[in-house]
This record gives sequence, C-alpha cells and structure tokens, in this order.
Amino acid sequence: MTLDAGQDRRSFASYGQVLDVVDVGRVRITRRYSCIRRDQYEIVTNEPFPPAFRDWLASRGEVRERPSFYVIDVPGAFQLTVAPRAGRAILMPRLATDLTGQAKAAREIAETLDHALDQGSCLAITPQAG
Amino acid sequence: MAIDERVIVETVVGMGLAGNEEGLIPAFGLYLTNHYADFYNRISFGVLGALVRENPELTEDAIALLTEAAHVCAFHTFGGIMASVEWDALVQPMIESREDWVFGMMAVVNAFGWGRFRVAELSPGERLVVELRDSYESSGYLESYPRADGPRCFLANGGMAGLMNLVYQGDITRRPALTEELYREVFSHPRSFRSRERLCAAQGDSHCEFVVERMPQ
Repeated sequence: MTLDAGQDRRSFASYGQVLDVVDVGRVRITRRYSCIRRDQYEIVTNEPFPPAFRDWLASRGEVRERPSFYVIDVPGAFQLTVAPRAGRAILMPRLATDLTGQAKAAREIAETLDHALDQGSCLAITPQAG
Repeated sequence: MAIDERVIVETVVGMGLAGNEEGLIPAFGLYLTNHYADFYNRISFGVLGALVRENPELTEDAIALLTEAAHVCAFHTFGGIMASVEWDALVQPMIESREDWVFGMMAVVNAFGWGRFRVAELSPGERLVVELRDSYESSGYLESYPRADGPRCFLANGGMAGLMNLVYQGDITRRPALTEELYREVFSHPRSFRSRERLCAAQGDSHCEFVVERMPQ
C-alpha cells in the first residue's frame, strides 16, 4: 500500500469513503478517509486470527483484553482493535504519525498477520523492533 | 430476543474508555469524546434561546436544526458502532433478527451512560417507542431553566429516528459505507423515519418517551 495510491481520491474524499483496497497475501487492507491528517485501516481475513498474532502485538504495546476482543494501544502511533474470531481488526492511527507512517504501520501489521496465518497458530513470531 | 444487555453493558463499561494523549477516545471505529453533559446542554439550549429571542417564529427552525444535528450524529455514531470490530465481536454473535440490531444498539447506548433507554414497543420496519429515564438533556434543562413548554431532548429524539433509519431504511446490516451520499439518500427518503418526543421530563412528565414512525405518504 502506498500513500500515492489514494492521494487523488483523498483530495475530494468525505468521511468513511474507501480510498483503496490492497491484499497482502491472505489479508485484505481497506483504507478509508477519516480526516485530512488521518486514515482508518480495516484489516480482514477469511479465517480467525491466530494467537501468535496477538502475542506479536502484545510486544508492541499495552493490551486491553475483553472476552471477545482485545485492544492494543501504542501511544504516539496507533490503536488496533481486534476481533480475532471474526478475523477483523481496525487500525486507528494517532495524529502524531503522518499518512505515510500510518500506511506503513498498516502494511507491517498485515504482513505479520499473513505470516502468522502461514505459520499456523502454534508457532511464535519473533518480536520486531519499532 | 437474543440480546443480553447485561453482558453488553458489562463489557463496554469494562473497556475502560478514556481519552488518550490526543484527548480522544478511539473506540467502536470512532473518535469519541468525553465532556460535561452541561457543556452540550448549554450550547444546545443556548442556540434555541438565541434564535427564539431573535424571532419567536424561528422556534421550529431552531428545533429542526438541532434535530438535524442529531440525525447526523446518529448516522455516524450509531452507524459506526454497528459497523465496528467491537460490535462484530460482542453484539453480532447475539443477533438473530434485524430487530436485535435495535436492541443491541440500545444496550450499547445504556453502557455509555446517556440515560436509561428501554424499548417499549418495536413494530419491525414501522414503529419504535422508547422510554428514557435520567435523560441528561431534560435533567440538564431543569437545572438551568424553568419547566419547559415543550420537549427538550433534541439529541435523543433525533438519535432514535437515526437508529430506525439505519436499521430499516439504510440497511446497516449490509455494512454500507457511511458516506454523506448515503446519509442524504436515507434521511431524505420520503418514507424515512422521524421521531417525536411524546413525553419529556423537562416539561414535567415522569420520564421521556419517543415515538418513531415513517413519514406519512
């Protein structure tokens, strides 16, 4: 996903409008216009998210766990709300990040999730820096 | 009805919704804010009072403006909640019918503490009657003004119409994009829903009550 992909549409977009849709392996990212400085990313798979994905996210920030979903908060970067059984997550970037950084974070999460799906839920993912 | 309001309220309350370092609350795919109810009330009733003082004939226009603001708010807030990851995980598994979308949303609203909403009647696709106790609009009004000569819960009233329009007119169950175009299409439809506040604590009733029906043909 690149910032340029939806840049022209972004200039005239209204709240909630889909800017672009990108598949990263088995993971689909849908980018929607949120405001002039921030987009929102929906990350979806056709299968439940593996526990290893949650473990990797937990290495990135604080996890708030509820029985049916969890929320990862990375101050200054983003909040990710995950419904693992539904195979769906929403990335809500902080304003402190620019649009390029927001797209990069979404892509990194999608790539990690795709990798976790390939590896199966029983394998751990090496935590990454950042 | 499969909606377990207790589970929904406990889960939402337990989410620990609080502002981040930006002062916003990212939740339900939305950026929520937390501020004093009196702040909203002061602005809302201040607009009404200013327009009425300018020209009493503007009363209906002022109410129409505040109601329209509520329709827009409901479209994005309720619509956003019903399209959210949290809804998918928490409420969606309880849903067995389209009507459960209404009951599920009511449970989430009660968790937010906007008052105690209860569905008194729901005729699918036709009519909704909701009772509201401890409405922050009516109680806030009575804190600052004498007893009202008409209903004052403009946001809750428009919100109830917005909920019915999302469920039965805009078919939120198909997860449409919540765009301005869809808003206009849904709320400008000649058979879209409108709400009237039949009872209001601000005018001396024991509680507030909203009747939501389709506009007459």
